[in-house]
Amino acid sequence: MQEKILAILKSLGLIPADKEDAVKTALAEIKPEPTPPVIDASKLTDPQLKTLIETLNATVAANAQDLKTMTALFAQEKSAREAAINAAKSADAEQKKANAEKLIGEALKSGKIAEADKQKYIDKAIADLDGTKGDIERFATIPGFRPAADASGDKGEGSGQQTSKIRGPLSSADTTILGAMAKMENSSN
Amino acid sequence: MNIFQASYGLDSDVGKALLTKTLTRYPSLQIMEFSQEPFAYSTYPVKPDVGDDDNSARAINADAKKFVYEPTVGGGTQRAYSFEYFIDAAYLADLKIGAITNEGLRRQLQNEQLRLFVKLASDVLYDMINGDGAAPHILGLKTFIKDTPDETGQSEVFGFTKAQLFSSLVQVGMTLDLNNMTQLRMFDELLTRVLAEMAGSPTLVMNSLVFARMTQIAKALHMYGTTLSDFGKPIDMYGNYKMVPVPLKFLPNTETDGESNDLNSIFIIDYDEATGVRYATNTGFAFKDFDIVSETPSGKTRADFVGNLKCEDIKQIRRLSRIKL
Repeated sequence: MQEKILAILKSLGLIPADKEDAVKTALAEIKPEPTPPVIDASKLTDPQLKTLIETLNATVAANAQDLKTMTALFAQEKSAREAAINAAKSADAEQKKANAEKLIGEALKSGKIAEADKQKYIDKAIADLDGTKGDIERFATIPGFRPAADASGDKGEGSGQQTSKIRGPLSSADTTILGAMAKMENSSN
Repeated sequence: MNIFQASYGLDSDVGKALLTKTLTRYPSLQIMEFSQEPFAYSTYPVKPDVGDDDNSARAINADAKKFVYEPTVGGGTQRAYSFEYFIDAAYLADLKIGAITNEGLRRQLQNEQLRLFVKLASDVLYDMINGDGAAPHILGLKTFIKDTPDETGQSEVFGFTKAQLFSSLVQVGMTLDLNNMTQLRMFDELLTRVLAEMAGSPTLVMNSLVFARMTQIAKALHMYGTTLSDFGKPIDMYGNYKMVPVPLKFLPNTETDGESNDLNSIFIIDYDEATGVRYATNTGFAFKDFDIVSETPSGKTRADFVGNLKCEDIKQIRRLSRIKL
């Protein structure tokens, strides 16, 4: 044990070279805590005392085992809780990232921010989603922005302004009704 | 829920625009309520069916009046209305030689889709008022509450007795003459009396001629107002009650009392998804657009409505018949 302690202290650079022997000597002088004397019940002649001592010895042994078990359980619980905390932190970070990417994705689609600024605003939204959302809502659409066509050939998602995205006879559909539909869709999502 | 909330397949811009055009043409669809229910839907009258003779007051230690759960009473099926539209590959071949353009074709197809969607809605709305209830037609309001001289002419439906159905009929027998204020006040009194006996906040459904006259009466009696539908469009009000017109074709002014043949009805309906009059549906106005392959529409487009009338409490509907203008 003393050798191990000495090795640790040396590895940590806590022992100057000229003090090594002194430390070694000091460590050698450290006496282990006296262990409580164990009474050998077999040497007792009084049967009642012998029974009592045997019972006490058994209790001490059981307590020691319990202590060992409890210590192991505490260590296990501590480990599990630390893992759960780490998992929660990780999930929270992932959720924040997903929310941020969604927000910035929508801002890109609506022409509120440029592709070049995407990562900058994702980082900002991870740190403060609501604040970044508020900022983006106040942004004007980038001049000359044109929405990208989606897979269906229609442009953009449904909204109150979507009639402008449909060419042809349906483009004159009532924008008030379309706007009300968009609100209903949003409120049901 | 309203017709938009009850419909599926309207998540595309084209689907929404089609329904929007339809709601603009038939504003009564903006007011109606729908409940999403299976094709084979329940038509129970309100259970337990508490009558005026069922008094809850009881002596101490006496039994309470018992009502019995009757899950097997009532039930019907919804009615299906559909249109499908195909493009033959022979027409698509015109694209290959440049005789038509993708954009031109899409516009042309939108025209056809709009015509089909509106016609489907027109058929449904017509049957909502006139349908005889026999498959494949919806039970119409005029069939539900017939304008008959006595209860024997009614047809039991939804668990309602002929007497209950006849009690929902109010034969007005008045002329709504704008030059006769006394008559108009009498009509207002009758209308107020009927509305006060009903549940909820009913809507007055009438043909366009009656609607025009009722608007004038509301203004003359200082009862006129407006509100907004779920879709943000103005709706005329008579006092606290919405008024919606339906085309004369759907609710003609040709009803008769045996003498005159130019009489009208007003249906007073408490539309409510949970407890009122509504249309059970498992589609709403469903829409399937063409598939798009490289910007060229292909395959088929389809519009559907599956639904039927549902009314569990006869107090939630009244028919004012024999109204002369």
